[in-house]
Amino acid sequence: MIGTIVKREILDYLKSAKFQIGLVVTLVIAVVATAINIQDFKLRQQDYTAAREEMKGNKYEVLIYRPPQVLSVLVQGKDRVLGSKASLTTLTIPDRLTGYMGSRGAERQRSLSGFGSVDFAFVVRVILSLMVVFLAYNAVSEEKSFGTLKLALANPVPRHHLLLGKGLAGLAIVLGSLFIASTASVLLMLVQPFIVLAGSDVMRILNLVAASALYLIAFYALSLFVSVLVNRPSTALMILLQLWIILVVIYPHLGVDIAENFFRLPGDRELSAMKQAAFQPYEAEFNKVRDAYRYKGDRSPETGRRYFELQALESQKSHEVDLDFGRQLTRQMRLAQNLCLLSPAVLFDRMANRYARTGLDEYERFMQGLARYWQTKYLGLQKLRYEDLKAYQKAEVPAFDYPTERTAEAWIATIPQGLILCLMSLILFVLAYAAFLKKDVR
Amino acid sequence: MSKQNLILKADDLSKRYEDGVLALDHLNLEVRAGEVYCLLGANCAGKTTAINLFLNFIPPTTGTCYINGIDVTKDPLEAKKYVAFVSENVMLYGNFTARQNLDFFAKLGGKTALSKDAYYQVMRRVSLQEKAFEQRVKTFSKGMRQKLGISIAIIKDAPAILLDEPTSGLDPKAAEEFLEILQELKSEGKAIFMSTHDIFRAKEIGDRVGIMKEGRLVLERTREELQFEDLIKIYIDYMKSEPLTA
Repeated sequence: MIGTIVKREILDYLKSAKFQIGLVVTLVIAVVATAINIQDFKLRQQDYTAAREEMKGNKYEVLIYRPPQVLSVLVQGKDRVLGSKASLTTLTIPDRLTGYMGSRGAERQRSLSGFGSVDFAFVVRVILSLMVVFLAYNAVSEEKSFGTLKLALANPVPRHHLLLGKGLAGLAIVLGSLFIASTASVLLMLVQPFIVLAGSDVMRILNLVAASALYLIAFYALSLFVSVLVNRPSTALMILLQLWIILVVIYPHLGVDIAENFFRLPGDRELSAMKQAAFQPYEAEFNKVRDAYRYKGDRSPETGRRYFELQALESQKSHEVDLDFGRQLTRQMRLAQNLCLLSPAVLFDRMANRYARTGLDEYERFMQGLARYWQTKYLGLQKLRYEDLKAYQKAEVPAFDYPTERTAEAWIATIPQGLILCLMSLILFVLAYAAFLKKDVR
Repeated sequence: MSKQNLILKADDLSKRYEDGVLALDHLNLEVRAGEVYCLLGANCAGKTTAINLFLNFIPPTTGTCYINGIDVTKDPLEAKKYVAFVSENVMLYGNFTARQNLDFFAKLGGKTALSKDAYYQVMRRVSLQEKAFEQRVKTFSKGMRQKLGISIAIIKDAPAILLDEPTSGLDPKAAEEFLEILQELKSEGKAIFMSTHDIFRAKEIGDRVGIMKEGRLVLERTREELQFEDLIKIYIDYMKSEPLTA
């Protein structure tokens, strides 16, 4: 019985203009966006390689570049907006990245960035979720208003079979559309000679598709629930579109605004004052040693080392303030995220950015790697300048590397979001089920 | 007529809605195999409520409906195996062809292994044009949809058929064709229960005719009795009479 219902529902969807138009629009946008993002990634990759080669020789001001993430082709996230260049000196451990990798080709391509933010994640978050709403808003409401529901239930069909059949068919169509869109995007990536996907990247893509599926299922369950509750299809569509705007657009911004007002963060001036205060106890000694070393000609190794140590200490203290600011910022961000826990779009974004390594987490990881590099490798090199100038001159700039997040770690980190989406879908399906059992079908 | 032939039975059936309206007031009626029962009445007289109760779309406040001896409230799925339904305005799946609609509802009714020819035969029987068999239903006129609706009832081959004002809105020719089909079904032994406003056709086809007013069955006549009475006058007199006291 369920098979008959599923088959009919699927056929009905496939024959409907809304599905055909929705699928074509989804495919076109997914393919065009991926093609543009692939070219953008290619330019950024070339810039990254060239920039690294050019800056190898400078030992005092070491420039570190954040590599573009290959999966940013699918999920741009914050990969571009957070900057990609860090300049390390004895005086600074950068608290944030600046600029792009010089004024290179990709920067000139920024005129495309308006479309650059349209990526596979956008297709899922906006286009496919809207398609789900348009597919499911009349799943029950139209049958009720048309009278086909009454005709169907005049037969020995348990109501839950009817709803289950509709649910399964709707999910098959939604997941099928997702599969087609994601396959097209990934295939387009794979045919590019400069894109090489590692096994972990493939796993991340699979996780991304799974997260997309959970997101769309949540919207399908919501649409089905509203369709069961409301008898008029036009009313159901209106309600669902309003809910979509609230959940995808308004609610996430509201969460950020509330969090920003709740957690007031210090401004640049306050931060600067805090940094000065942190170094205050050493200020007098620093001034004395600096004057002796730089202006009074005291070039003894002890003075030089102490001058270097105090410079490093100032950077360290400044970095501690930055770290504290970062922690507050993280708390603010977490609050915003927690306030938005009921938005499937926010949950999906967090998962997608994590899998694509284009979110704040990956950025933080890079910045921590940078701080570690400064402490463990860069300072060691600079110390040589004061201890053994010849060795310093011979030494090469140590290579920078940072441990990227493993796929399993990313997966574990996104379990809460995945569980919330699952739970959300389950609750909405149960509510739809309970409402359908009691629905007046007259 | 033997007790065994009893297919539809309403036993002291009442329905009061949540808003307090008494839609059906102690209805008692029986429809036997090979019998057509026409229920006449104005709008809101309780005709459709009676059908909704037989189909278990709403629970009765008191009383019981039986289909083929099965208590509809206690075992609705079993009871629905023995009843087919044709609504006032048959709406089907517009993107599907007539045959696909027939196939779907036949399967819901438990007929899972019917051939294309079987569907075509049923559609021919109700005089649906051949070219319409594989046409999408959204292009169909109301008459064509009603014919397809009765095809669905025929293919289910249930002993009881409930029809809720099936000829309403049909042109005279289509309505006549529709009644001819009902006559055939009656001769095959189906118990037919039809609510209608159409006094002429009720008199023409009904073996028994009931008149409902404000939820009550106020009069019931057999075909034989109606040979000596003017059904139209009786009906109009009832409609004009004072409201019934609750």
